[in-house]
Amino acid sequence: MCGALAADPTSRDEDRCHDRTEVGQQEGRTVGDGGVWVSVNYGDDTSAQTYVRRNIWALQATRPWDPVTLAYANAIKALQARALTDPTSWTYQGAVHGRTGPVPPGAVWNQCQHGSWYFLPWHRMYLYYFERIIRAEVIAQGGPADWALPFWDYENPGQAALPPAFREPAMPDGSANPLRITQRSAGWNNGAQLPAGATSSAAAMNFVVFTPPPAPGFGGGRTSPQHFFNLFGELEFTPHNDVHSLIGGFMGNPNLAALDPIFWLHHSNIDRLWSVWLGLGGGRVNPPDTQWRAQSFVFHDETGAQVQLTGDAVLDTAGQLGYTYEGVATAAVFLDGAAEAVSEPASPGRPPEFVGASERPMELAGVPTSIDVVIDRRTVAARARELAEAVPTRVYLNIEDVEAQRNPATVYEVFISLPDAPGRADDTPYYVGNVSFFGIEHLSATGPPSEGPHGFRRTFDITTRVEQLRAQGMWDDERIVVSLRPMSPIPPPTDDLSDADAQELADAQAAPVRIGRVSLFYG
Amino acid sequence: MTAVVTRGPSALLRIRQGARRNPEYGVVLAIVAAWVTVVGFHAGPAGLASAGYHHGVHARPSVLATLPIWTVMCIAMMVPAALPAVRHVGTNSLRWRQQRAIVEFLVVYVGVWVAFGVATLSALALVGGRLPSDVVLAAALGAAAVWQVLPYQRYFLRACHRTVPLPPRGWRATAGCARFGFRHGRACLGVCGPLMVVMAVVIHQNVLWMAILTAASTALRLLPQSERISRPIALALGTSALIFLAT
Repeated sequence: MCGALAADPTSRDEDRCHDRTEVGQQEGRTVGDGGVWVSVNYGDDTSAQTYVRRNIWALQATRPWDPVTLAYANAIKALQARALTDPTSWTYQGAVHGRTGPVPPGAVWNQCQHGSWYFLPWHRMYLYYFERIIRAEVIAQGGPADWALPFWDYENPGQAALPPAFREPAMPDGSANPLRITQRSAGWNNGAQLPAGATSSAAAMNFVVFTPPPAPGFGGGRTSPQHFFNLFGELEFTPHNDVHSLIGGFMGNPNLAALDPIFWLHHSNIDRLWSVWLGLGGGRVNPPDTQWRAQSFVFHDETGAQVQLTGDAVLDTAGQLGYTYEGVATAAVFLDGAAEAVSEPASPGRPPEFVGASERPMELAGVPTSIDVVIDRRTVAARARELAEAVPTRVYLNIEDVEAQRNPATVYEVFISLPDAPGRADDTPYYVGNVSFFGIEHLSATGPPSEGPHGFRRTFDITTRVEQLRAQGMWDDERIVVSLRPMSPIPPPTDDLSDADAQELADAQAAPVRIGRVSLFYG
Repeated sequence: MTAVVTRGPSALLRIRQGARRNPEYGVVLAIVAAWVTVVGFHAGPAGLASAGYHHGVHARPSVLATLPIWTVMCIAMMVPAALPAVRHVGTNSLRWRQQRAIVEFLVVYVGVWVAFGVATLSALALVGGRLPSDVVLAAALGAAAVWQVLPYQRYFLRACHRTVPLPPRGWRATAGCARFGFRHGRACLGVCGPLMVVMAVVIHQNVLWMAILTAASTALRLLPQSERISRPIALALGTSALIFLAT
């Protein structure tokens, strides 16, 4: 029955079907086959093989073409040779995430979930079936039977550039390298690196709540299934959206992103960070809501057959899906004590109150830009009388009603009350987070007709920052200046961009973005 | 031992806080009042005189005479689907101008529907004396059915979900609320306008029409993935059109 059950990973019996093995009475896990394949003993004379997703930079530590990467590249070549109508083809799998143009009847296209609490479970399911498709092809080609999708941990020092094999012009046999595509922003294929501010998951990890009312939270806001909505979780913004935007090209566009082979390793890392977050404990749990857990999504497995998974079926990667991540248990370094307070939920039953906003819209075009936010004295005074609070319990900064025709190939750092002094070395006390615009074309007036067109929105909980600035006497209760500063990739160490490439990058970064309002809410 | 008695907020303060946190509640009361008025109209002498569906060629009452009840019907039928927008206006306005902002938004939003009513009722007044009323109704139902399956309806539905930046104070705040009311009204007109043409045809008939069309328009605008119900609604409208033509 193993074959019949292969499309349904929700059953524990099926998990054992990965490779049911008699292992005697030995309890626990054993690492085998070069550390990639883990055997889980259920203690009843059966076991299952659990695949281990490994760090791509560790795999390529000594040579770009390690067996896992080489097998991935060869499998991609095979998938790319298949027709778009084949659900296991490279282009079809990319279209499952998004594709511009008409959708053939019955095709499972344009399914990705963004700006919603389904972002993490949907992408986990997507990766799971993609990994099965690639593994089947790897095995068919005689590659490692324990092949698992690696992850790109760009947050690690020295690993912020694309992994070497993704930049090599050719494969070991001299043929074209499918891992290296030209549709990336200038510099990436020459060793440009992601800046640390774009890859840090610290802010996301510091949230304790997955889906709090109100935003922000770790995993996204409560919505119905939405291709694109505007209730992003912190992990989806940084590092997810930031990495998409900075790499640019295919990665910067949801309808093309999955055609860049690095997409899958990026999302493998995002999926890993979800596991890391849960492992941190301290009340970090998945939503208990039936609406979230029972929601099913449709995919294709390695035979091309349509399959369904619910959220409930993907919460335990080892037990339900048969894979784990290398090194997840050691991730407690993410906690930042100073920022931990940020994760506390707002006062229950008291929604945040609007206390001030910018008077005019703000235009971004790839250069530093600031805007005044006037805090309404009358409202603040009335609140103080009513609530008997000298200072607000929580302070939220909203960047709202954001529109753009396309995603600029940059990320903007956001600061509050940044002093005017030029060249200031340490602006950390004023930094509240990043805003990037992956998928914004789906939320704009001219975007494709779909649900969720509410305009792009980014919310920061700036309570801790405000307290720090207040303590230093640098907080003005009547006015703040909000500054946005574009972030660029760190240029390749040994390669100067040509003038044409530099101009192309500057143009891509300068793609205009209109922010309708910057507002302040007190909780 | 001394007991410390702490006093909670007064009842008046709690009501004010509740109203501020749920700014759409006042509008819900206005919707209920509109429904009571319309039901009262249909149950009263003027309504009873024209109740039921009348076949044949009939002259319609003047636009001016019909406009007041049309305005009340717009509040009863079209404002429920605008409640999320009303809440958006309320929660994104400073507390001291929250209710004013909602009124500014609603005046323009309902104004769009009233203007649409003037145009539609005028057009119906022109054809009312020339074509049998069942043909006019069948045509309106058929057009509304076709509209449901056209991509334009989805375009307007998308625009119907959009918000507009609301400046915090002064004339910019008023202009922002008015702009939002206009854009929201225009977008919602694109979704529900054809349904309201049907309502204009049967304006003096019975409340059942109102209830059915309100349910359809509210579902179209508020339910997630409402494109799934567009086709069933189109089918129901189309079938009704054929029935009216056949009878």
